[in-house]
Amino acid sequence: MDPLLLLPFVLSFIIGFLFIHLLNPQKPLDLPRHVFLAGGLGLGVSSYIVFYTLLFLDQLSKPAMIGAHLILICILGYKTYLNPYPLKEKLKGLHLKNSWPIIFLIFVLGLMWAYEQLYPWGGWDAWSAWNLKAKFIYLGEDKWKNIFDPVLWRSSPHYPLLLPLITVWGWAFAATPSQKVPFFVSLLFSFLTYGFLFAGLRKKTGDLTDPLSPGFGGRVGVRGTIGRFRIYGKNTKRRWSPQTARGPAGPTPRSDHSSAGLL
Amino acid sequence: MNTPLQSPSPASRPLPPLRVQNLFLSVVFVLIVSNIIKLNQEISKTHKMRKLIPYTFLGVKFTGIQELFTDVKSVGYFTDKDLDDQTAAAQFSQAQYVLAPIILDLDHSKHEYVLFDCSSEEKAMEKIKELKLTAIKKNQFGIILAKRKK
Repeated sequence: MDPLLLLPFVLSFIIGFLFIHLLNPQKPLDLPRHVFLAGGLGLGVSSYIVFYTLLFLDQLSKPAMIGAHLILICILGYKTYLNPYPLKEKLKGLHLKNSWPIIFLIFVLGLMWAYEQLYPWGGWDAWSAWNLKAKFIYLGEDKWKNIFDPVLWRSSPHYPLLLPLITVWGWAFAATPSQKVPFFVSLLFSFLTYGFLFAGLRKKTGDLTDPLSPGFGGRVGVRGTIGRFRIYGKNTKRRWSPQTARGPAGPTPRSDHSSAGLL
Repeated sequence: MNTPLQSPSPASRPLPPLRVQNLFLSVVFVLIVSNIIKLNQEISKTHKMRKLIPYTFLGVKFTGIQELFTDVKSVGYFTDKDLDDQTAAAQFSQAQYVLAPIILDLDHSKHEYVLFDCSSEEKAMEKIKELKLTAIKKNQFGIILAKRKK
Protein backbone atom coordinates (compact mmCIF):
# COMPACT_ATOMS: atom_id res chain seq x y z
CA MET A 1 0.00 0.00 0.00
CA ASP A 2 1.19 3.49 -0.89
CA PRO A 3 2.70 5.14 2.25
CA LEU A 4 0.82 8.33 1.39
CA LEU A 5 -2.42 6.42 1.89
CA LEU A 6 -1.25 5.29 5.34
CA LEU A 7 0.01 8.69 6.46
CA PRO A 8 -3.43 10.09 7.47
CA PHE A 9 -4.00 7.09 9.73
CA VAL A 10 -0.61 7.59 11.37
CA LEU A 11 -1.46 11.22 12.08
CA SER A 12 -4.84 10.21 13.51
CA PHE A 13 -3.20 7.63 15.73
CA ILE A 14 -0.72 10.19 17.09
CA ILE A 15 -3.59 12.56 17.91
CA GLY A 16 -5.55 9.79 19.65
CA PHE A 17 -2.52 8.58 21.58
CA LEU A 18 -1.58 12.02 22.87
CA PHE A 19 -5.20 12.90 23.62
CA ILE A 20 -5.72 9.87 25.85
CA HIS A 21 -2.38 10.42 27.50
CA LEU A 22 -3.37 13.96 28.41
CA LEU A 23 -6.90 13.15 29.54
CA ASN A 24 -5.81 11.45 32.73
CA PRO A 25 -2.04 11.60 33.12
CA GLN A 26 -2.14 10.70 36.82
CA LYS A 27 -3.86 7.37 36.20
CA PRO A 28 -2.88 6.25 32.74
CA LEU A 29 -4.34 3.29 30.90
CA ASP A 30 -2.25 0.22 30.27
CA LEU A 31 -0.56 0.22 26.88
CA PRO A 32 -2.79 -2.25 24.93
CA ARG A 33 -5.98 -0.40 25.91
CA HIS A 34 -4.30 2.93 25.25
CA VAL A 35 -3.16 1.88 21.77
CA PHE A 36 -6.50 0.41 20.67
CA LEU A 37 -8.49 3.30 22.09
CA ALA A 38 -6.07 5.82 20.57
CA GLY A 39 -6.64 4.37 17.09
CA GLY A 40 -10.40 4.73 17.35
CA LEU A 41 -10.35 8.12 19.06
CA GLY A 42 -7.84 9.48 16.56
CA LEU A 43 -10.05 8.47 13.63
CA GLY A 44 -13.03 10.05 15.37
CA VAL A 45 -11.16 13.33 15.89
CA SER A 46 -10.04 13.28 12.25
CA SER A 47 -13.59 12.80 11.04
CA TYR A 48 -14.66 15.78 13.17
CA ILE A 49 -11.92 17.92 11.63
CA VAL A 50 -13.05 16.93 8.12
CA PHE A 51 -16.65 17.64 9.07
CA TYR A 52 -15.84 21.14 10.37
CA THR A 53 -13.81 21.81 7.22
CA LEU A 54 -16.92 21.02 5.22
CA LEU A 55 -19.07 23.09 7.54
CA PHE A 56 -16.95 26.25 7.50
CA LEU A 57 -15.57 26.14 3.94
CA ASP A 58 -18.63 24.51 2.35
CA GLN A 59 -16.37 22.06 0.53
CA LEU A 60 -13.50 19.72 1.16
CA SER A 61 -10.19 21.48 1.50
CA LYS A 62 -7.15 19.24 1.78
CA PRO A 63 -4.78 21.99 2.99
CA ALA A 64 -7.28 23.00 5.67
CA MET A 65 -7.83 19.51 7.05
CA ILE A 66 -4.14 18.54 6.92
CA GLY A 67 -3.20 21.87 8.50
CA ALA A 68 -5.75 21.40 11.29
CA HIS A 69 -4.33 17.96 12.04
CA LEU A 70 -0.76 19.27 12.18
CA ILE A 71 -1.74 22.16 14.44
CA LEU A 72 -3.55 19.76 16.77
CA ILE A 73 -0.54 17.44 16.88
CA CYS A 74 1.72 20.38 17.75
CA ILE A 75 -0.59 21.51 20.57
CA LEU A 76 -0.97 18.02 22.00
CA GLY A 77 2.76 17.33 21.60
CA TYR A 78 3.63 20.50 23.48
CA LYS A 79 1.16 19.62 26.26
CA THR A 80 2.66 16.14 26.48
CA TYR A 81 6.13 17.63 26.72
CA LEU A 82 4.97 19.69 29.69
CA ASN A 83 3.26 16.71 31.27
CA PRO A 84 4.92 15.32 34.38
CA TYR A 85 4.12 11.71 33.48
CA PRO A 86 6.55 10.73 30.73
CA LEU A 87 5.48 8.52 27.86
CA LYS A 88 8.50 6.26 28.28
CA GLU A 89 7.07 5.06 31.61
CA LYS A 90 4.12 3.70 29.70
CA LEU A 91 6.28 1.99 27.12
CA LYS A 92 8.13 0.16 29.91
CA GLY A 93 4.99 -1.88 30.49
CA LEU A 94 5.20 -3.40 27.03
CA HIS A 95 6.59 -6.91 27.19
CA LEU A 96 6.17 -9.64 24.62
CA LYS A 97 5.08 -11.98 27.42
CA ASN A 98 2.07 -9.77 28.18
CA SER A 99 1.34 -8.98 24.58
CA TRP A 100 1.20 -12.33 22.82
CA PRO A 101 -2.62 -12.28 22.56
CA ILE A 102 -2.36 -8.99 20.66
CA ILE A 103 0.05 -10.63 18.21
CA PHE A 104 -2.51 -13.40 17.84
CA LEU A 105 -5.14 -10.78 16.97
CA ILE A 106 -2.83 -9.47 14.24
CA PHE A 107 -2.79 -13.01 12.83
CA VAL A 108 -6.61 -12.94 12.79
CA LEU A 109 -6.35 -9.63 10.93
CA GLY A 110 -4.46 -11.53 8.21
CA LEU A 111 -7.42 -13.87 7.81
CA MET A 112 -9.80 -10.93 7.59
CA TRP A 113 -7.59 -9.47 4.89
CA ALA A 114 -7.84 -12.76 2.95
CA TYR A 115 -11.62 -12.69 3.28
CA GLU A 116 -11.90 -9.07 2.18
CA GLN A 117 -9.85 -9.83 -0.90
CA LEU A 118 -12.87 -11.78 -2.10
CA TYR A 119 -14.92 -8.56 -2.02
CA PRO A 120 -12.53 -5.84 -3.17
CA TRP A 121 -15.32 -3.26 -3.57
CA GLY A 122 -16.95 -4.23 -0.30
CA GLY A 123 -20.45 -5.53 0.22
CA TRP A 124 -23.81 -3.92 -0.39
CA ASP A 125 -23.47 -1.37 2.42
CA ALA A 126 -20.06 -0.25 1.19
CA TRP A 127 -20.94 0.91 -2.31
CA SER A 128 -24.53 1.80 -1.64
CA ALA A 129 -23.97 3.89 1.49
CA TRP A 130 -20.57 4.50 3.11
CA ASN A 131 -18.13 4.67 0.22
CA LEU A 132 -20.70 6.40 -1.96
CA LYS A 133 -20.99 9.21 0.59
CA ALA A 134 -17.21 9.40 0.84
CA LYS A 135 -16.94 9.81 -2.93
CA PHE A 136 -19.59 12.52 -2.96
CA ILE A 137 -17.71 14.45 -0.28
CA TYR A 138 -14.32 13.93 -1.89
CA LEU A 139 -15.26 14.69 -5.49
CA GLY A 140 -18.36 16.80 -5.05
CA GLU A 141 -16.61 20.10 -4.22
CA ASP A 142 -19.37 22.51 -3.15
CA LYS A 143 -22.02 19.99 -4.29
CA TRP A 144 -21.09 17.44 -1.63
CA LYS A 145 -24.45 18.12 0.05
CA ASN A 146 -26.10 16.25 -2.81
CA ILE A 147 -25.65 13.13 -0.67
CA PHE A 148 -28.69 14.33 1.26
CA ASP A 149 -30.83 14.56 -1.88
CA PRO A 150 -34.05 12.55 -1.37
CA VAL A 151 -33.52 10.99 -4.81
CA LEU A 152 -30.75 8.97 -3.20
CA TRP A 153 -33.12 7.33 -0.74
CA ARG A 154 -31.75 3.91 -1.71
CA SER A 155 -28.38 5.00 -0.34
CA SER A 156 -29.78 5.98 3.07
CA PRO A 157 -28.97 9.73 3.15
CA HIS A 158 -29.75 9.79 6.88
CA TYR A 159 -26.88 7.45 7.81
CA PRO A 160 -24.17 9.04 10.00
CA LEU A 161 -21.07 10.42 8.34
CA LEU A 162 -18.37 9.10 10.67
CA LEU A 163 -17.20 6.27 8.44
CA PRO A 164 -17.36 8.21 5.14
CA LEU A 165 -15.44 11.10 6.73
CA ILE A 166 -12.72 8.72 7.95
CA THR A 167 -12.44 7.39 4.40
CA VAL A 168 -12.25 10.94 3.04
CA TRP A 169 -9.47 11.70 5.51
CA GLY A 170 -7.70 8.57 4.27
CA TRP A 171 -7.68 10.11 0.77
CA ALA A 172 -6.16 13.35 2.07
CA PHE A 173 -2.77 12.75 0.45
CA ALA A 174 -4.07 10.86 -2.59
CA ALA A 175 -4.72 12.27 -6.04
CA THR A 176 -7.73 10.01 -6.65
CA PRO A 177 -10.17 8.23 -4.34
CA SER A 178 -8.33 4.93 -4.21
CA GLN A 179 -10.35 1.83 -3.41
CA LYS A 180 -7.57 0.69 -1.09
CA VAL A 181 -8.52 3.25 1.56
CA PRO A 182 -12.08 2.03 2.32
CA PHE A 183 -10.67 -1.49 2.26
CA PHE A 184 -8.04 -0.51 4.83
CA VAL A 185 -10.56 1.45 6.94
CA SER A 186 -12.81 -1.59 7.23
CA LEU A 187 -9.90 -3.76 8.37
CA LEU A 188 -8.64 -1.14 10.79
CA PHE A 189 -12.07 -0.48 12.26
CA SER A 190 -12.66 -4.17 12.95
CA PHE A 191 -9.18 -4.66 14.35
CA LEU A 192 -9.40 -1.67 16.70
CA THR A 193 -12.86 -2.71 17.88
CA TYR A 194 -12.09 -6.28 18.80
CA GLY A 195 -8.62 -5.31 20.01
CA PHE A 196 -10.04 -2.76 22.43
CA LEU A 197 -12.73 -5.16 23.54
CA PHE A 198 -10.15 -7.84 24.13
CA ALA A 199 -7.69 -5.57 25.96
CA GLY A 200 -10.50 -4.11 28.09
CA LEU A 201 -11.94 -7.46 29.08
CA ARG A 202 -8.53 -8.89 29.79
CA LYS A 203 -7.81 -6.00 32.12
CA LYS A 204 -11.23 -6.27 33.75
CA THR A 205 -10.86 -9.94 34.55
CA GLY A 206 -8.07 -8.93 36.91
CA ASP A 207 -10.35 -6.37 38.54
CA LEU A 208 -13.21 -8.83 38.87
CA THR A 209 -11.18 -11.40 40.74
CA ASP A 210 -11.92 -10.14 44.23
CA PRO A 211 -15.56 -9.13 43.84
CA LEU A 212 -16.55 -12.46 42.31
CA SER A 213 -15.19 -14.42 45.20
CA PRO A 214 -17.81 -15.57 47.73
CA GLY A 215 -16.29 -13.74 50.67
CA PHE A 216 -15.60 -10.47 48.92
CA GLY A 217 -17.98 -8.31 50.93
CA GLY A 218 -16.22 -8.67 54.22
CA ARG A 219 -12.74 -7.91 53.11
CA VAL A 220 -10.96 -4.63 52.84
CA GLY A 221 -9.75 -3.57 49.40
CA VAL A 222 -12.66 -4.76 47.30
CA ARG A 223 -12.27 -3.15 43.91
CA GLY A 224 -13.92 -3.17 40.53
CA THR A 225 -17.27 -1.93 39.36
CA ILE A 226 -19.13 -5.19 39.90
CA GLY A 227 -17.76 -5.41 43.40
CA ARG A 228 -19.02 -1.95 44.26
CA PHE A 229 -22.47 -2.73 42.83
CA ARG A 230 -22.64 -5.96 44.77
CA ILE A 231 -21.81 -4.11 47.95
CA TYR A 232 -24.51 -1.56 47.14
CA GLY A 233 -26.88 -4.39 46.46
CA LYS A 234 -26.11 -6.12 49.74
CA ASN A 235 -26.50 -2.87 51.67
CA THR A 236 -29.80 -2.11 49.99
CA LYS A 237 -31.13 -5.57 50.72
CA ARG A 238 -30.16 -5.24 54.35
CA ARG A 239 -31.74 -1.77 54.60
CA TRP A 240 -34.93 -2.85 52.88
CA SER A 241 -35.54 -6.11 54.69
CA PRO A 242 -39.08 -6.30 56.15
CA GLN A 243 -37.70 -5.70 59.65
CA THR A 244 -35.86 -2.48 58.77
CA ALA A 245 -38.41 -1.04 56.37
CA ARG A 246 -41.32 -1.05 58.81
CA GLY A 247 -42.93 2.17 60.00
CA PRO A 248 -43.22 5.70 58.60
CA ALA A 249 -39.62 6.52 59.48
CA GLY A 250 -38.17 3.88 57.16
CA PRO A 251 -35.06 4.63 55.17
CA THR A 252 -35.31 6.81 52.10
CA PRO A 253 -34.37 4.84 48.99
CA ARG A 254 -31.45 6.11 46.99
CA SER A 255 -31.59 5.65 43.31
CA ASP A 256 -28.05 4.28 43.02
CA HIS A 257 -28.71 1.69 45.73
CA SER A 258 -31.96 0.62 44.14
CA SER A 259 -30.38 0.20 40.74
CA ALA A 260 -27.48 -1.62 42.35
CA GLY A 261 -29.92 -3.96 44.02
CA LEU A 262 -31.48 -4.69 40.65
CA LEU A 263 -28.09 -5.53 39.28
CA MET B 1 -24.60 -1.58 62.56
CA ASN B 2 -22.27 -3.56 60.36
CA THR B 3 -21.94 -7.31 60.76
CA PRO B 4 -18.50 -8.50 61.94
CA LEU B 5 -16.01 -9.30 59.21
CA GLN B 6 -15.57 -12.96 58.40
CA SER B 7 -12.44 -14.43 56.85
CA PRO B 8 -13.22 -16.71 53.89
CA SER B 9 -12.78 -20.45 54.30
CA PRO B 10 -9.93 -22.04 52.27
CA ALA B 11 -12.47 -23.65 49.89
CA SER B 12 -14.11 -20.31 49.10
CA ARG B 13 -10.87 -18.42 48.62
CA PRO B 14 -10.81 -16.42 45.37
CA LEU B 15 -8.72 -17.49 42.44
CA PRO B 16 -5.61 -15.38 42.00
CA PRO B 17 -5.95 -12.74 39.28
CA LEU B 18 -3.48 -14.47 36.98
CA ARG B 19 -5.52 -17.69 36.98
CA VAL B 20 -8.75 -15.87 36.12
CA GLN B 21 -6.99 -14.03 33.32
CA ASN B 22 -5.63 -17.29 31.98
CA LEU B 23 -9.09 -18.81 32.15
CA PHE B 24 -10.51 -15.85 30.25
CA LEU B 25 -7.75 -16.05 27.67
CA SER B 26 -8.40 -19.76 27.21
CA VAL B 27 -12.10 -19.15 26.52
CA VAL B 28 -11.23 -16.37 24.07
CA PHE B 29 -8.66 -18.62 22.42
CA VAL B 30 -11.21 -21.42 21.92
CA LEU B 31 -13.75 -18.97 20.46
CA ILE B 32 -11.21 -17.43 18.11
CA VAL B 33 -9.97 -20.82 16.91
CA SER B 34 -13.53 -22.03 16.21
CA ASN B 35 -14.25 -18.78 14.34
CA ILE B 36 -11.03 -19.14 12.35
CA ILE B 37 -12.11 -22.62 11.27
CA LYS B 38 -15.53 -21.31 10.20
CA LEU B 39 -13.98 -18.34 8.38
CA ASN B 40 -11.53 -20.61 6.62
CA GLN B 41 -14.39 -22.82 5.45
CA GLU B 42 -16.23 -19.75 4.20
CA ILE B 43 -13.17 -18.50 2.31
CA SER B 44 -12.61 -21.92 0.67
CA LYS B 45 -16.29 -22.16 -0.28
CA THR B 46 -16.28 -18.69 -1.83
CA HIS B 47 -13.01 -19.45 -3.67
CA LYS B 48 -14.57 -22.55 -5.22
CA MET B 49 -17.67 -20.59 -6.21
CA ARG B 50 -15.54 -17.86 -7.77
CA LYS B 51 -13.83 -20.41 -9.98
CA LEU B 52 -17.21 -21.22 -11.51
CA ILE B 53 -18.64 -17.69 -11.52
CA PRO B 54 -15.96 -14.96 -11.38
CA TYR B 55 -16.73 -11.90 -9.27
CA THR B 56 -17.68 -8.89 -11.34
CA PHE B 57 -18.27 -5.43 -10.04
CA LEU B 58 -21.29 -4.35 -12.06
CA GLY B 59 -20.39 -0.69 -11.72
CA VAL B 60 -17.48 -1.28 -14.12
CA LYS B 61 -20.05 -1.10 -16.94
CA PHE B 62 -20.42 2.61 -16.23
CA THR B 63 -16.76 3.64 -16.00
CA GLY B 64 -15.76 6.42 -18.35
CA ILE B 65 -19.29 7.77 -18.77
CA GLN B 66 -18.91 10.46 -16.10
CA GLU B 67 -16.19 12.12 -18.18
CA LEU B 68 -18.87 13.14 -20.68
CA PHE B 69 -20.67 15.28 -18.12
CA THR B 70 -19.54 18.76 -17.26
CA ASP B 71 -21.29 20.68 -14.55
CA VAL B 72 -24.16 18.21 -14.35
CA LYS B 73 -25.73 17.58 -10.95
CA SER B 74 -27.88 14.63 -11.90
CA VAL B 75 -28.77 12.45 -14.86
CA GLY B 76 -31.78 10.28 -15.54
CA TYR B 77 -31.55 6.51 -15.40
CA PHE B 78 -33.85 4.26 -17.38
CA THR B 79 -33.99 0.52 -17.05
CA ASP B 80 -36.55 -2.07 -18.14
CA LYS B 81 -35.27 -4.44 -15.45
CA ASP B 82 -37.09 -4.99 -12.19
CA LEU B 83 -35.20 -3.04 -9.53
CA ASP B 84 -36.60 -5.33 -6.84
CA ASP B 85 -34.42 -8.00 -8.38
CA GLN B 86 -31.13 -8.15 -6.47
CA THR B 87 -28.81 -8.07 -9.51
CA ALA B 88 -30.59 -5.13 -11.13
CA ALA B 89 -30.67 -3.22 -7.83
CA ALA B 90 -26.97 -3.95 -7.29
CA GLN B 91 -26.16 -2.71 -10.79
CA PHE B 92 -28.06 0.54 -10.15
CA SER B 93 -26.32 1.09 -6.78
CA GLN B 94 -22.90 0.29 -8.20
CA ALA B 95 -23.53 2.60 -11.15
CA GLN B 96 -24.38 5.33 -8.67
CA TYR B 97 -21.15 4.60 -6.82
CA VAL B 98 -19.03 4.78 -9.96
CA LEU B 99 -20.71 7.95 -11.24
CA ALA B 100 -20.66 9.83 -7.89
CA PRO B 101 -20.90 12.76 -7.30
CA ILE B 102 -23.40 12.77 -10.16
CA ILE B 103 -26.84 11.68 -8.96
CA LEU B 104 -28.72 8.99 -10.87
CA ASP B 105 -32.44 9.69 -10.88
CA LEU B 106 -34.95 7.03 -11.85
CA ASP B 107 -37.41 9.80 -12.71
CA HIS B 108 -35.67 10.49 -16.03
CA SER B 109 -38.27 12.86 -17.52
CA LYS B 110 -36.75 16.06 -16.12
CA HIS B 111 -33.10 15.51 -17.00
CA GLU B 112 -31.10 16.64 -19.99
CA TYR B 113 -29.07 13.42 -20.01
CA VAL B 114 -30.51 9.92 -19.56
CA LEU B 115 -28.59 6.66 -19.16
CA PHE B 116 -30.25 3.59 -20.67
CA ASP B 117 -29.45 0.29 -19.04
CA CYS B 118 -31.83 -2.12 -20.79
CA SER B 119 -32.02 -5.86 -21.28
CA SER B 120 -31.26 -5.36 -24.99
CA GLU B 121 -29.95 -2.57 -27.16
CA GLU B 122 -33.06 -2.69 -29.37
CA LYS B 123 -35.33 -2.05 -26.42
CA ALA B 124 -33.15 0.86 -25.34
CA MET B 125 -33.27 2.43 -28.83
CA GLU B 126 -37.04 2.01 -29.00
CA LYS B 127 -37.45 3.82 -25.72
CA ILE B 128 -35.04 6.58 -26.82
CA LYS B 129 -37.19 7.16 -29.91
CA GLU B 130 -40.36 7.11 -27.86
CA LEU B 131 -39.00 9.72 -25.48
CA LYS B 132 -37.67 11.79 -28.39
CA LEU B 133 -34.07 11.73 -27.19
CA THR B 134 -30.82 11.50 -29.14
CA ALA B 135 -28.35 8.72 -28.40
CA ILE B 136 -24.91 10.28 -28.08
CA LYS B 137 -22.71 7.51 -26.70
CA LYS B 138 -22.77 3.74 -26.34
CA ASN B 139 -20.13 1.72 -24.52
CA GLN B 140 -19.07 -1.92 -24.94
CA PHE B 141 -21.45 -3.04 -22.18
CA GLY B 142 -24.52 -1.74 -23.98
CA ILE B 143 -25.05 1.28 -21.76
CA ILE B 144 -26.41 4.12 -23.87
CA LEU B 145 -26.27 7.78 -23.01
CA ALA B 146 -28.97 9.92 -24.59
CA LYS B 147 -29.55 13.66 -24.63
CA ARG B 148 -32.84 15.54 -24.68
CA LYS B 149 -33.46 17.53 -27.84
CA LYS B 150 -33.76 21.26 -27.26
